[in-house]
Amino acid sequence: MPDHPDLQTALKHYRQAAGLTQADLAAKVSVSRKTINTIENGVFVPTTVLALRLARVLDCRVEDLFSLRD
Amino acid sequence: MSDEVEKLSRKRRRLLIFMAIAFAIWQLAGLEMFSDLAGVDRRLTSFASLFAFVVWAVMLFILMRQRGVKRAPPKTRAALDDELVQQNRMRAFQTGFWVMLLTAGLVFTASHFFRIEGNVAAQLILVAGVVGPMLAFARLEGRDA
Repeated sequence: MPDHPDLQTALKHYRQAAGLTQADLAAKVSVSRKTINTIENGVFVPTTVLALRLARVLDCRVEDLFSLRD
Repeated sequence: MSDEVEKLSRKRRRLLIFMAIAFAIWQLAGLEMFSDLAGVDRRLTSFASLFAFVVWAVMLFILMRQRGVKRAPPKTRAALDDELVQQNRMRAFQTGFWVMLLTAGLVFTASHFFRIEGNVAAQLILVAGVVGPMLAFARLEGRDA
């Protein structure tokens, strides 16, 4: 069950656009593949620090990765 | 790196489940009340309790030694204790709190119908407080694996 149903994420889209697997992205930000999977599924909401790291690796803004549903 | 993290994470999860079961058997089988309720020879429950203690001690040694984790690169070690793991640990402790509270309530209610010694009640609540978070953490770690 999602931690925050209002939050939606485009992490999967940006990761795939960057040509990375979940394992590749996990290695780049020093987390487990499962953590990336749970973020993509909306089960886990990362901290600001991890969100910034993900944005840096994927060369986008945090707001591009995470947003609130209308 | 990811394969190594998942392998070590699975190993930790398995160890926790076995440790929780061994701890519960060690503590509960040692209770006089348990052998009376089960209607079995006290020597049998004492042996089960002793055996479970040995299993628990071996598991604890393996968990504390963590040879695979200590040899792993820093990034792998960081991934084994990342934000999700920390959140799971926090939730497991929260679950443990509620399990302890529930157990205390059950023991209190049961004490109206059966004679329960204070030390037995404390032991039951402590077992719930130890086993509850361990199993909860294992369950959370197994989620979306």
